[in-house]
Amino acid sequence: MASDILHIKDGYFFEVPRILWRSHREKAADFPSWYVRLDSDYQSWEADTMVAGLSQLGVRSEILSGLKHSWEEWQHQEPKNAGWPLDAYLEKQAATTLATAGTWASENSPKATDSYQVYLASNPRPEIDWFIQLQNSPEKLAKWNELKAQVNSDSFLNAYHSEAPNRDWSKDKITQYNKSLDGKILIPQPFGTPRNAYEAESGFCLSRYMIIELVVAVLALAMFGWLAKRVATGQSPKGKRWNALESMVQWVRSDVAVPAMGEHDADKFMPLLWTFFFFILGCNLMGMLPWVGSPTAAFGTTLALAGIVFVIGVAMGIKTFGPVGFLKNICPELGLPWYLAFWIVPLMWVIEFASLFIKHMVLAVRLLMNMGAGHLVLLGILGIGISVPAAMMSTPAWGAVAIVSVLGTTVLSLLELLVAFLQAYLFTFLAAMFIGSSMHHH
Amino acid sequence: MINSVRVGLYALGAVALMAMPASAQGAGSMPGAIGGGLAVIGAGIGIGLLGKGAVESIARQPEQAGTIRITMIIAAALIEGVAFYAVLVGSQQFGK
Repeated sequence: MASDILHIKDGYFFEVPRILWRSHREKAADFPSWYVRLDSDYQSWEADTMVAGLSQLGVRSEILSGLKHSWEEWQHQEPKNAGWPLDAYLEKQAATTLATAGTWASENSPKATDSYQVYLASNPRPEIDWFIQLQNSPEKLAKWNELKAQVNSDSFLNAYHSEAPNRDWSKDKITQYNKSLDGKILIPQPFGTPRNAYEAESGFCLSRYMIIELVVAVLALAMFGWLAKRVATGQSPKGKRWNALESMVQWVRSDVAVPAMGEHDADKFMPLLWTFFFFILGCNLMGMLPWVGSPTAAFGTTLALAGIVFVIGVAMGIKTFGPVGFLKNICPELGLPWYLAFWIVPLMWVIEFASLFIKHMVLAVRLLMNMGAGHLVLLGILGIGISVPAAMMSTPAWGAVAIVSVLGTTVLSLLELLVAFLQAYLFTFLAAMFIGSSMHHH
Repeated sequence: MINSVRVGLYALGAVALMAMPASAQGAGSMPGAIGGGLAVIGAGIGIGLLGKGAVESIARQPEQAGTIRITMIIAAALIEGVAFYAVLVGSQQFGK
């Protein structure tokens, strides 16, 4: 659940128009391994292997004969169950049963030591009880984990492509899969396995936004490395590129850092603030390019940036005042008489301490929502022009609505451009303000 | 005044009824959406008052227009941050 929020608009592929990147895969072995693992033919063969392994573990055959059928029924019950293989089905059922047993026992017999046995006494669950008993015995659990590891390994997938009876996929299935993969440039994943195009199963998966951030970083390094060499010569700027870059760099210092932090501290933190400003600006502007997307529309990116501001602010505050002094400094001195101070100052301190965390969280959320919501609004307005009138209106009327919606999208995109610059400026300004205020006496 | 309040409440109820089939899809909750909307009302009023104050001060002292404009933008973004926070939390609520 946490990683769903952190990667809200992220994915493990780049999406381009279908014409530009057609999928020409011809047989099952051409498809990526996670794609094959989600296929129903593959999962059926995988389930047969697991049933055979379970019968070797000593599970009774009348349970195993109905197992595959009840797994397939469970898959069709709810959309979120689709695509999970047999081992995941068994473990999920066991987990939910144990959880229900826990709540049932806490309501009906709170003094019982083994909530599962008490639950089982009045609600027998033979279809999953055998699996829970298997999980409770250590040597059977070890064999089950071995079976799972064998089934999830790459050699098992290769065995499918060479040995399984249903390894030749029908032409219809391959055409349908090719259609759904048209236009998706899948990112190669050397370090981890994705579960599907949007979720990771294990390891460290490279996502689209990570690649875009790398591109922004390399571009920024190239541009400002070039500028640094020029500045080091000590001459005054000549030419358009040099003047433009140097004026932007100078502007960040004089209009963002110095008003927020004061002249004295600004020079120490300029590299950090320049990095924030140009990285966030670059990432935001990438959202203006078609089919690319802005990494700052993912909570993971903005949370990391705000986390950096938080860590540096606290570290600088502790370095200037010491840990206790830093905590005393976050509360402004009011010069109250003693009969007001003894109850107002603790209240104020609690509020200021909470606001220390809240300020930085809101820094992350502000950048995230400005980037994300802007694109959602654009999607909504363009969607009005595409979907609604087609079903309900005559063609001239639909044409008028479509033209208005496209014009509206263009104007909103200009607003998005303004928001990109504004949010980069604001993040840098507030970061400078927070770091500065943690180093100065209130 | 009472009559217009009553009409307003009926309108709200009618909108809520019309939105029920949409919320049956379960990808977000009605109370979450209402909460987000309420927070944005406050932000809208706040930023509107801010704009009023900024324009009036620029009218009184045109030579300070630059400072006032920057201050207004910073304050507007801070208020908007709070509104966005409420919208984000409201949109992450699950269930009807």
